[in-house]
Amino acid sequence: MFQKLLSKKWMFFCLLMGSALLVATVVSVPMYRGAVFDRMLRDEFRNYYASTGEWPAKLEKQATSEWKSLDPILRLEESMTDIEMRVGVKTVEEVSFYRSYNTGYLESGRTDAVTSNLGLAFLSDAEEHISIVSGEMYSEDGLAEDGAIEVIMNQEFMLSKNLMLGDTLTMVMLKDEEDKLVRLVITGVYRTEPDAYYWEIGTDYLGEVFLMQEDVFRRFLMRKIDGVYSAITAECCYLFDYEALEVGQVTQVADSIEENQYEGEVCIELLERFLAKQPLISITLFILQIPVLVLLMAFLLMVSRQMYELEQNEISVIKSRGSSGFQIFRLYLYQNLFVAGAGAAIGIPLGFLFVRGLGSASNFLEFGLRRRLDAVFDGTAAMYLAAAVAATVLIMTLPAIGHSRVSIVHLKQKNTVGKKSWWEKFFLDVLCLAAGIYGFYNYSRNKAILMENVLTGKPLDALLYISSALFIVGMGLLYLRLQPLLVKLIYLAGKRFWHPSSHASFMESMKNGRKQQFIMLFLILTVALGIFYATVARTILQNAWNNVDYLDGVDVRIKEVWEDNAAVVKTYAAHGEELTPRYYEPDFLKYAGLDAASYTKVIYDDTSDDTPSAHAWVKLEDKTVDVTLMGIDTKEFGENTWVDRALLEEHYYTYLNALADEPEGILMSRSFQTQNGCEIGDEIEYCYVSVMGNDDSEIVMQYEMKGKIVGFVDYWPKFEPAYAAIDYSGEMVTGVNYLVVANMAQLQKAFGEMTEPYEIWITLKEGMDSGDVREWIVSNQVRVAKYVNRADDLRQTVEDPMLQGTNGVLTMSFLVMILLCAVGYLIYWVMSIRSRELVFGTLRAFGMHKGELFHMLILEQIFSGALSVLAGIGIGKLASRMYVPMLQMAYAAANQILPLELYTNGEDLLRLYGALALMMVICLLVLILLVFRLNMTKALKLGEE
Amino acid sequence: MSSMKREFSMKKGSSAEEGDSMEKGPSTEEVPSMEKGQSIEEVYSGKTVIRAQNINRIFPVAGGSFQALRDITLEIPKGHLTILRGRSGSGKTTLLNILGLLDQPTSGQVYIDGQDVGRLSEYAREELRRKQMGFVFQSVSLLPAMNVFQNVEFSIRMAGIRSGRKERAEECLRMVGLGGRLRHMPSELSGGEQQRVAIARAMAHRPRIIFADEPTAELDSAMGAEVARLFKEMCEKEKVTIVMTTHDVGLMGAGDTVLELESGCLKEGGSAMEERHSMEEGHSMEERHSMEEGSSKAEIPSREG
Repeated sequence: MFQKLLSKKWMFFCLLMGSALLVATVVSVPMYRGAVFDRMLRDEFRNYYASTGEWPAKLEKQATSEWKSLDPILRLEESMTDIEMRVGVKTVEEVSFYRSYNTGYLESGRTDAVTSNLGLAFLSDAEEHISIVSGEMYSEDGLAEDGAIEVIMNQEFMLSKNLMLGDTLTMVMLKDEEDKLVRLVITGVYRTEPDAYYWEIGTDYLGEVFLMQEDVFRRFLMRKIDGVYSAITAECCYLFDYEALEVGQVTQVADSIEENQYEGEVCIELLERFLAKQPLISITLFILQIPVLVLLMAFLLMVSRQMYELEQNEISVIKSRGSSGFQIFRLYLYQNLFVAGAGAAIGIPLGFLFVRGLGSASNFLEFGLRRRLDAVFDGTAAMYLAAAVAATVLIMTLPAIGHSRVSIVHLKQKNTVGKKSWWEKFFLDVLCLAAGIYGFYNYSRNKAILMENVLTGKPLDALLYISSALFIVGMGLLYLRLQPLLVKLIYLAGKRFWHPSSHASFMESMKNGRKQQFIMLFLILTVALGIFYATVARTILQNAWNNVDYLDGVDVRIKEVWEDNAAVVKTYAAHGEELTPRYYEPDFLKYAGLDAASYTKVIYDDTSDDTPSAHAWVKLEDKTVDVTLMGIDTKEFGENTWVDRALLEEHYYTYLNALADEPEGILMSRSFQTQNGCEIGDEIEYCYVSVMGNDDSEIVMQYEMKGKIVGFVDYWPKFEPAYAAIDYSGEMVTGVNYLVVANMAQLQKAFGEMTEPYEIWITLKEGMDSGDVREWIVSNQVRVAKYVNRADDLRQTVEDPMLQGTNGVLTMSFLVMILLCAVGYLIYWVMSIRSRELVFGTLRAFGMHKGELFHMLILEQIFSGALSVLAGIGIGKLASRMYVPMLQMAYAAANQILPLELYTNGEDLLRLYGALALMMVICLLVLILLVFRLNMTKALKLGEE
Repeated sequence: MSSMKREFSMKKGSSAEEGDSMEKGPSTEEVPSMEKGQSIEEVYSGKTVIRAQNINRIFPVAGGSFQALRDITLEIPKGHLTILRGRSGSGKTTLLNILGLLDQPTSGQVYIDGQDVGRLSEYAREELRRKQMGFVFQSVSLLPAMNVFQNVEFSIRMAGIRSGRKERAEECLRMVGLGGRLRHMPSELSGGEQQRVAIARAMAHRPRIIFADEPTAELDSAMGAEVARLFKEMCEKEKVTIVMTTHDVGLMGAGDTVLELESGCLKEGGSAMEERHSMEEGHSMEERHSMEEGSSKAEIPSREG
């Protein structure tokens, strides 16, 4: 058996490569999925933490004691013990905060302090997270020499109660074991030390409590005094390390939260969001991999069939000598088991490599992401491995059944000129095409369904994807059906003029072309799928990228917290006095210190905020229409933003100029025109409403303005012309948004004295990254209400596991396909030339020059190879045009605003063509080598045997 | 290389038992390539088409070399049917290949029409083969992708002839008795039929010289005789020079000249009649040899289907 393998070393190598690639491809799916899910899960937490600064992996529980019992607190303590084991994830921090309120009096007799409602509290491990500003920390046993409880306070508490360091207080309701009133002595003033996790417990209450030692608290406060307990509120906070959280632990975490009734809304929400995304990605990745798996199997089938054909003589001789078919079958089974085993041994490490490739794919054929994926070969991967090996053995052994039946007599009978292939007889090409086109029409008529699937988070529709694959296969087969006719047509066109060598290759191609169908189909599918994949991957990512780019509007947008005097105005009003409400404008000049390229003020009533502080509407004759109002300085705005020419009827700056020329001018969204019918030059009344203060002190200001329409825009930076969403009943709702863009100066005129809050839109200098802005914000203590960073958003888009996985799978599939195609084509050619050595010898004997032989072979390559590549390109482009828009829709974000565009990258195609050209050149070199080594007399001798 | 080795060992095996009888063959002191009454002047004045001088052909084999031809000097007269005879391994095919410019001698010269072809470029030799020579190989060498007619027509194409291809191809196929099977594919013909197509193909482009390597090996005796008659007719009608190797005794009579090779050496050749006489003596040997050869082939499915 091994001798047999050695003698066919190239065939063996191909089988080994095929099975290794199959194993690697199959195994890489669960490994990648596992790793990417881990990352995705962590990203959910990381992103939340990054955007809110709040530790999302936080579980809390609170309890208050009852008059007669401490049970609620004891139950709380019980449920918090061993929480790390219950939740199953590593702890970052565990904090307890117990407090109780009491009243006392200053022993010094000072009366200017507030000594009622004094909180007494302990904070577990407080000494590690605070520092003493003056005085001293409470001592280790927490008691002074005279038995008074040593307490510390923060400055806020000190100031609000007007207490002083060293003050001693007697608590009127607290008694010690000897029934004496408890005394406190203030030993120090502390401040909190920054800590990422510890203060998740909250610092709000620190301004109303003394802190004491935990044991002292338990001893003096958690006891019955005169038969009752003080009212104690206990708060426990548990922070786990979401970086250590793995997908397998998700259910345990969720279950433990439910079981122990922990409070962790954020955590649960993030986990649920993750669980909802998971199947979507699993299914999508699987569907995307189907074509390459099918091609791999076809490759194995092709090579093993070729191997059996080579050994057909041998098999039939063995058979004629009395070996049973089963014996032959068994021989091949062992051989294939060996190949599959060796394939698995290579395939597993290759699978790890694939996962790395998958994980770092930042775009099609680009491996730019540096974040590592920690792939693990786990049980699931082992199951996939077993399936892959079984499939490999099956595919390689199945043809043996047919061949083991062939005896020498059958073989002779079979060696006649090729007839029509089975698929031609069954019109498989027509069937595939029909199914593919049906799918296309079905979906293009029901785009709304696709949209709804996106919004409800349903996975990529397998049928849609399969119909595109069927279309490509159908077209490929159709081409194969037509190819002989095409060759014949070319032949007939120049019948009288063909050079003898051309003539010979035409004859060869017309007569034996069918033998090449398999490799030609392979070539067509590789090229067509390659182009299709490149388009899918580029289009999906580029559209998502453009969308984010457009929606963010500018590099960085900052809206600061604007303080106002609403509360004071209300107080004045209560006393019958009037005070002009106003905002306190944050220092705008500080932006000069930010080393950005440029920035501008923009007034924007962002209704997508959770609590919009402003909104606007347009007054029409019979109704008002809500709009989004934007106030801009045309020059600065134009310098900082951009809208693609293709999205607007005229150049972006034309609109800005029109607005600049007319102080009262406004630009309106096209949607407003189509829905409400107005024209350029119409005067329109619009209104800006700003809400100041909070619920208690709300002041509403309304400014009415007139504007003259100077233009209608389809798109505008950050503007969403339409929306689609799922309402509570699960129905999809769609609608349009309206936009009014006015001159900032005009708005300001209407505002009068008032400065309404604005956003700062910043364009960064080249080379500046988002980290620099963040640093600037921190170092300038800018209080940010809203912060949008385009670079961060774009990065998140690229790293989105769904997009990224798609890119990865498509890229890896493409690479595997190219490899298969190159190797397949090469073996096919070498085999074909080898089997025709006698013919070449004859031709050479007749005086055919070597050059003419090349001519002939190159022409044959053109008929089988180059024409197939051209067909593949055509089919790939057609399929892309038809199916990519629909596929893209399945990936589009719910807020996909921009019209979808097909993107292909010239470089991708160059790479594809380069790979194919390399393949052909290698084939050519091998060809040249074979022809040069072709020994005429020897070749002719071969025939004598 | 493997086929060469096999031939070598076969030769060794047979030479021991047959050596004696071959020694008995006629030997004269004359220059073998000249017919009786032919002078040197006549040879160089155009009656000799091929002249070979001191041809040696040494093949490298594993662990040494094997000399297939030793110092062969001969002349092939124009318009004659020259037969090369000898046992398997005697070097007939090697010599034929060298004369047909398919192979090059290790040393020695081949002159065609007085021109030293060793000095010609490969390209020129190919052109010579293509336009002025025709070949019939022992092995079936039809192009499998072309039908019978196309195979024959192709050789006319190769020779660069642009007109009358169809008629000539049909004529040649009629001559070999296959006028009714023009559209058949080679795989649909028997071995003998294929060989006849090969003969038609070899003469279709009206070459000046036809080299035939055991053209009748696959044919029955009647057909063999027919081929011999055909060759003879071609020599006479079309003034073609034919060089063929054979061991078919029936064919010896057709030869104008019979040259015998033994272990790579040319035995002195006389007239066709003398040759035929000596041939009859060696006949049984030849037959026995061919049977041996046949038995070693038994496992491979016979081409004669």
